[in-house]
Amino acid sequence: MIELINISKIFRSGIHEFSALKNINLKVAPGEIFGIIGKSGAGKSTLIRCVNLLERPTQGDVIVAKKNLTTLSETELRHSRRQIGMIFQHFNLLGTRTVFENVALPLELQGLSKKQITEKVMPLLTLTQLEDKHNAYPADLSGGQKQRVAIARALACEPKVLLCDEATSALDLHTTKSILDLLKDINAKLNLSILLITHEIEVVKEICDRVALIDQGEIIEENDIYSFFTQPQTSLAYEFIKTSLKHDLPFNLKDKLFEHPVANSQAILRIIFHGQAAAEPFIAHLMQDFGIKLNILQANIEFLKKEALGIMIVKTINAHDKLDQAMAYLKTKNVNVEILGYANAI
Amino acid sequence: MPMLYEFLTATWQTLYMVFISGLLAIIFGLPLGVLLLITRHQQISENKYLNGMVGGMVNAIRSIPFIILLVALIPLTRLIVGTSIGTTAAIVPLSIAAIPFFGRIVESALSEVSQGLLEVGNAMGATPFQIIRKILIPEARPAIINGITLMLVNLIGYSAMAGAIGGGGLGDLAIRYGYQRFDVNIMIATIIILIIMVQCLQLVGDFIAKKLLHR
Ligand SMILES: Nc1ncnc2c1ncn2[C@@H]1O[C@H](COP(=O)(O)OP(=O)(O)OP(=O)(O)O)[C@@H](O)[C@H]1O
Ligand SMILES: [Mg+2]
Repeated sequence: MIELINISKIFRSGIHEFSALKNINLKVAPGEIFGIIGKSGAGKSTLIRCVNLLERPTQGDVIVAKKNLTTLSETELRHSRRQIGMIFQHFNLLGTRTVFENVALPLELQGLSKKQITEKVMPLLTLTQLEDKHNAYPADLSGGQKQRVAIARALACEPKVLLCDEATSALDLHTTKSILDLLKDINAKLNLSILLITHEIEVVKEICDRVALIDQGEIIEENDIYSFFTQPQTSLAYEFIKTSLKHDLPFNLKDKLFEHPVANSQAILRIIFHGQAAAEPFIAHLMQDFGIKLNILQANIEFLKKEALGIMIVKTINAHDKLDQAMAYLKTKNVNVEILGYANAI
Repeated sequence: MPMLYEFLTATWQTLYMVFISGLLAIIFGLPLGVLLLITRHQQISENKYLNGMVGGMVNAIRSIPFIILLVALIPLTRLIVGTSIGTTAAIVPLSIAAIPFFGRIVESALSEVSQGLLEVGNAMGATPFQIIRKILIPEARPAIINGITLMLVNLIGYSAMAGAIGGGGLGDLAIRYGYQRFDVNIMIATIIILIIMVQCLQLVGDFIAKKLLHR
């Protein structure tokens, strides 16, 4: 639905050149929620603004709904932009317009009649739970309500794509959750592709199907959400996820770990499972079929976009030569297992 | 009561001068202000030369003391109105002084509209004209209303000067009776009427601006 091909952006001021985006390639499938995460100044806003050409890339092609936006005339581009909704960190509502009138604005710009506008706006206010606020002015709304108005407004022209520039960064935890739920809801109901940028890993964890990590204008990692959380490839990705998932060994064990087996040592495993695997009683299997007992040192269940992700750190007891077989068995069950090290038996 | 009649006429003349020239200033000053803003650096239709030229003209007119403008514009006034004396004639210099003043007020009011809102317009696929009409001007309305009040109050003062050189109105009355015949009571009475006028204007202006602000 969105395809960015070889996007580069160079900001020039006088003789200074700053390369804000470097060779970005990205594909967002129809109906997908795609997250871009990165630290402040990484180029996230610049990147998302390139998608509707609020920022013109210095080089590269932007294809949205099969149209190459970079080659369109001004008029054609304006037309295409109507199919791309956008919401912002600071909501950007018109203070002199009511909630209803704010949502109606894009429709007015298209020259729709009053009756047509009402017919389109009212269901959107219902969808975003704002019916009773339709006559209020933005100044009288809470942050979450303002963002709902902005979402309703972005949906007014029935876009195929929704861009979210730090849509929840100005909101508290609880409100963030409700806005993310709303985004999930419209993604499902309207089969809308959503591209969102954020610096909060919790947002990614909550709603994204895929995620890309951007650092200094480059995408350094891209993956589906499970792989991203369970097998981070870069240290930056690891840094992001470790604030959100309990991944690590309990610290009192960390120091006592050997890299290789020694006499009487036991393997410490990290077992990560999700989806179908979570339904299998694989711990029981390990015991029955391989005679391996597990001592659970740490376990927790995380939710990645509604699906459970279990992370366990276990000490094997009397695994010995059966360990390799057992690990192979787990892998056939789509359970991700990894030897973290070896510790003494006691 | 010939004196009361003179007061009523003079008040009417002042109101007439102020409101007609105010109206003209709004009609011409609003597009002027829009032009000054949109041609600025990094604005909707950036144009350094046009902005420099129009801005320069605005500054030039605004730097001429009104009393001199009044005299300098006599030929133009004659051309437009047919005479350079009288209330209607005074409207020409008053408007010409007020247009650039109001233009700058509009420009500054529009520049206060957040860049984010213009971005919203762009992202929605609005044309530059739609952005100006549907976003820029409506969002700047409270500030523009305050500017109109300010301009009208200034025009009351300027109209008194115009009156002094034959334009009529309260200024003319105050000078003829108060200054030339040392009639202090008349002087005080005109000042009181002027104060009431300004006060009312300010109240109405503030009220409208507040209504539009929604804050
Ligand atoms: N118009 C501009 N001119 C020059 N440099 C710019 C411009 N816009 C952005 N930059 C630079 O590009 C880099 C990326 O900026 P961008 O706003 O995309 O970062 P970001 O990832 O969105 O950060 P944040 O999380 O703080 O919003 C920054 O170093 C910024 O200074
Ligand atoms: Mg940003």
